[in-house]
Amino acid sequence: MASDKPYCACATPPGVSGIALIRMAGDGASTVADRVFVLRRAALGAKSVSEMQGYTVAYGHIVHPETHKIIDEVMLTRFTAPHSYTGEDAIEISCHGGTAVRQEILRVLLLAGARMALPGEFTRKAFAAGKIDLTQAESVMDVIAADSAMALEAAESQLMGTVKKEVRRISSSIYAVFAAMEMMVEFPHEEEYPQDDEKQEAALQAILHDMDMLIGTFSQGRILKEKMTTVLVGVPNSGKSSLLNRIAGFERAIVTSVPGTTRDTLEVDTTMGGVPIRLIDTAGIRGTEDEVEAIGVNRAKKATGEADIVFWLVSSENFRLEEHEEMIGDLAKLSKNTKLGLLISKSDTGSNEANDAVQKAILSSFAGIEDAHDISFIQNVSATTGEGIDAMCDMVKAVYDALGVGHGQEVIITSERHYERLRAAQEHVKEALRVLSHGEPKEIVCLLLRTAMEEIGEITGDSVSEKLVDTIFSRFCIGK
Amino acid sequence: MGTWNDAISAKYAYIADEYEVAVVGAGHAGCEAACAAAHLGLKTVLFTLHLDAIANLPCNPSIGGTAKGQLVREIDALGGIMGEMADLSAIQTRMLNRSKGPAVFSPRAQMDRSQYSRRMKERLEKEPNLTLCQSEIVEVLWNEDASAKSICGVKTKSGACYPVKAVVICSGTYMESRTIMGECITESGPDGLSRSVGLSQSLRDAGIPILRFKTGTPVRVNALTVDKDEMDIQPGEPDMPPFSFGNEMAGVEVKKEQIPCYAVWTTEQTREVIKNNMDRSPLYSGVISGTGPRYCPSIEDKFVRFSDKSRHQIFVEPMGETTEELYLQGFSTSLPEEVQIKMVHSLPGLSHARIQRYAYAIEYDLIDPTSMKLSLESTILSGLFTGGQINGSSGYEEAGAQGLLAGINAALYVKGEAPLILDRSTSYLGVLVDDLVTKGTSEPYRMMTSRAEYRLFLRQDNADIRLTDIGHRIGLVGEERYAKFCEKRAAIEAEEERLRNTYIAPKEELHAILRAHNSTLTPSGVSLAELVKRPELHYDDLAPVDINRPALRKDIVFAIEVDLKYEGYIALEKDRIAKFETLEKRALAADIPYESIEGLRLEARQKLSQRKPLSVGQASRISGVSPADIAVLLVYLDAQKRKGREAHA
Repeated sequence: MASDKPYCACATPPGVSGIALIRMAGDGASTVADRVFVLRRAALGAKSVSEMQGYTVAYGHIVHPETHKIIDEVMLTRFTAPHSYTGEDAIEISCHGGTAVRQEILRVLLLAGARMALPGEFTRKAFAAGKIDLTQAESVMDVIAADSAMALEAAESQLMGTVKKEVRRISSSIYAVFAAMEMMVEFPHEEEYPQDDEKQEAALQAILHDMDMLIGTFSQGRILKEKMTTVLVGVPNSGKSSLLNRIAGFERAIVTSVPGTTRDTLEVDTTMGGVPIRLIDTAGIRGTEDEVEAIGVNRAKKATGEADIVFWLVSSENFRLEEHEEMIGDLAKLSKNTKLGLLISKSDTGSNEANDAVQKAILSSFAGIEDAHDISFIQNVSATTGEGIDAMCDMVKAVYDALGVGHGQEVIITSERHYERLRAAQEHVKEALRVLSHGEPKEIVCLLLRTAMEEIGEITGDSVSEKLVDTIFSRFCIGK
Repeated sequence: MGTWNDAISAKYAYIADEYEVAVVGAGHAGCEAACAAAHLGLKTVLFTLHLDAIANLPCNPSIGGTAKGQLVREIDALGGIMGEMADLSAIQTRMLNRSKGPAVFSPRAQMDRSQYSRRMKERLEKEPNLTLCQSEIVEVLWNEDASAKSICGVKTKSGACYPVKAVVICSGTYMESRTIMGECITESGPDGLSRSVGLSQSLRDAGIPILRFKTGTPVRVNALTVDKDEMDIQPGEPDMPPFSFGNEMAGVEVKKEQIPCYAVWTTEQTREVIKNNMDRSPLYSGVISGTGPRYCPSIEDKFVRFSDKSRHQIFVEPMGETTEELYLQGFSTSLPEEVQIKMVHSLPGLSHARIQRYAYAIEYDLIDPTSMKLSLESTILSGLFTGGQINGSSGYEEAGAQGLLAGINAALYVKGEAPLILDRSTSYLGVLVDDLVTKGTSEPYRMMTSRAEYRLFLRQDNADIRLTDIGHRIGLVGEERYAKFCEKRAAIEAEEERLRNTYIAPKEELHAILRAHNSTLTPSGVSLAELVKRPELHYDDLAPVDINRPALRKDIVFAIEVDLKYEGYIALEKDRIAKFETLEKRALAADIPYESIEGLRLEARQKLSQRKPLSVGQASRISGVSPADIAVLLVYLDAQKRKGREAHA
């Protein structure tokens, strides 16, 4: 195979950051690097990148290969084949995080003989070099995308193969039943092999249970990947924007005291209680003739309807019960299927009695509506003092935990693809059990179990189809 | 050695008649190969050591059985002859697995051994384009140029050099064979017939890898010295359809008068005798070097391996209408004669039995099947085809199926046309060939239904639907038979259509039938197809509410029932087949540099370079190539495509 140019890309996301990371891998990476890197200090007395040992770092400058103009002050790490991510020679440059600098460094690398990496090329090469398997490749993407502690944990555990292990264990159990069925089909007239259908039926029941448990973890797993939608609702100027800013930690929303300032829904990805959430701040909902505001209000109602958690803010400041009538009606309808929390906001501005009075008024009005479920979470909060925010975090975590199936379940399915495969396999196993218990032909049971194993095999990469490989690698973007 | 000129220049050598195809060996593989090549219009010669032992059944005197019955039906669907021959010589028939589902129904029939052989000889002698010749082939002759070897002739022991364009070797268990009975070793073929000497060496000289296997055959006793009252009778079933589709479509009934088989169990005494004489067993004393079949172990094998079982079942089978010989199935052994006598006498009903033929083990040379292509042509010597036990299989049906394919492809080779390749999703024959060629085998390979991934689709009843079009396209299935087949297929489709579109009202007439079969009553009109689908109902049961139905043959009704009852599952299987096909169609060029594809493990690189699979699918079945390797291969192919270079088939 003709040797290819080394390929490079920026591995850190676009946007401003303190440091950026540029990677280059492939045969000749060090040679290309030497054309643009002026080494000032390196471990073990190396004078150039090609002289550096693997796993060592050097300090120096990236310069234009012809003019030698200094572009940036950087740290350069060298990896020698096969001890690198892709198994090839590689270098990583830690440079300053400005966009211009990054672009310039990439440009000179290209001038010096490298080419831009294709989407997912680094991980694809790692896979091709046998460094990681298919499901690990998949989880690299997840680790990168994980922006909460739990999601990271789940992704890392997949990288370590715990999902694979559990799925394989289930597959082996299916195989045991399959083998027994095959025996009965293959050697019918030999009395030497007893027909113990009941034992096999029991085994299939156990397998279905295990599959249920594993599939059930996806409801939590999905959250880890897609985040729990948490919507803040309340009449205009009830303190939603301030609270959102407080929780998210920066000035995302414009906060003024004129009602109706937030014109649209604002979304912030953050975590509460370690759980990744998408916090949505809705426009102040009130009857309005303002068209723009009306659009915002509709969006808000839609977001509220689809939320996992709704935090309803009511402030004791200028409190009038009639203003909240429509909201009480809407939320009562939702209370059956959505987790609802009542927050007495701006608690620092009102007295204890005022806050309690508001709470009582809202609750009794709420209770008066037919079909309204009780509000289980009630809390005084203040964006200014921070009161109640910890309690909110606990509540979010509790909702997340309640989604979990069985405690102590270490393996979590986060991938939609895995979930679909398991579901499909489970359907086949269910059908197999039905066929077996009805005394229908055993070779049908064999077919169904075999198909189930093939589906599961696609999760672990034990059975490979073209589509599978394509699907996994199509999700990648450049630099990873 | 090996070249034509060397052969001709030897003393007493002479140039004999020219033929297009030469078949070596007239066992089940050879007969199919010779018949096929001749029928396809090629001038064919069939060499055999013994004209009186054509299509011999040296072991089990039956054709068919689990998975094997399916093979026989496939041979027939493609235009081979085993099915017709079996129908003519059957003395007892039984459809195995009747109590299971139709996917594993397997027809089986006991044969009149001598009749089968005689009828086959008659058939071959009457085939135009085919010459039979009793002569021993000792050499294959080839031309060699820079790039490859290609066959150009065969030479007999008596010095005749026959110029031929293609050769099919079906030497069965005859190459360099030895029969072993305790301490008594004889250089002989099966049944005391003479063996082939020299041909194996000639193949070695050509560069073909040679292996050595062992198999065995049991004792035959005289029925007049046997007490049948002490045995369990195993009657036949006269309603098994014929093996041959032609016969089935013509409504021919196979064998109404059935000769029964019997079964006995071994006793404590049997176990004792074997135990006390194990030191005289050539297998356990190291005299036998070849590897025996796991699925067909000798009786002493069974006692050793399944030591927790106190007894084994033995079947006592008749060998023909005009002979008193009985075959003891499951009782093959290579223990000495003396011990065999004691063993037989320990069986119920056989305490005074007289042995007419003693059991023996036989060792023989064969070729490594991984040195063949999927067309059964050698990768080392062009124009050389092999079929049957020489490829590492065991069993008459496995041999016949391979012989048919080898004969067809030898003919296509001579005609300069592309070979017929059948894949695993089309037939048991496809599974058989792919298993042997792609995976190889370390013991005699026996077909089993569990080897087929698409068992629901590869049934004995639909072999014609699967393969007759191919047989016709090649030219082995004649116009008359093909026309009848097309009629059958059309009738099935038409009737299925009618059943789907005919609705039966929920009246008492229907409900009476449903109640009689414990089937749930229908609240509204339901189609006939829906009713036939129910496990507890059959097409015939619905006659009273379907008076205008056409009169259909049994086999057509059977096919319709299976199609409808298993519709959902067959569709599932077809999905799986489609998935399978995408990898089968992903072609791999012959010059892919596997050695330099890093992600492949070492073993995979070696195997892929050596075996040069035609497709990613075939690559996935080579031992030593894991799914992870396949994923790497797919990513590699994709990268190649992106670089603008397509992998050409």
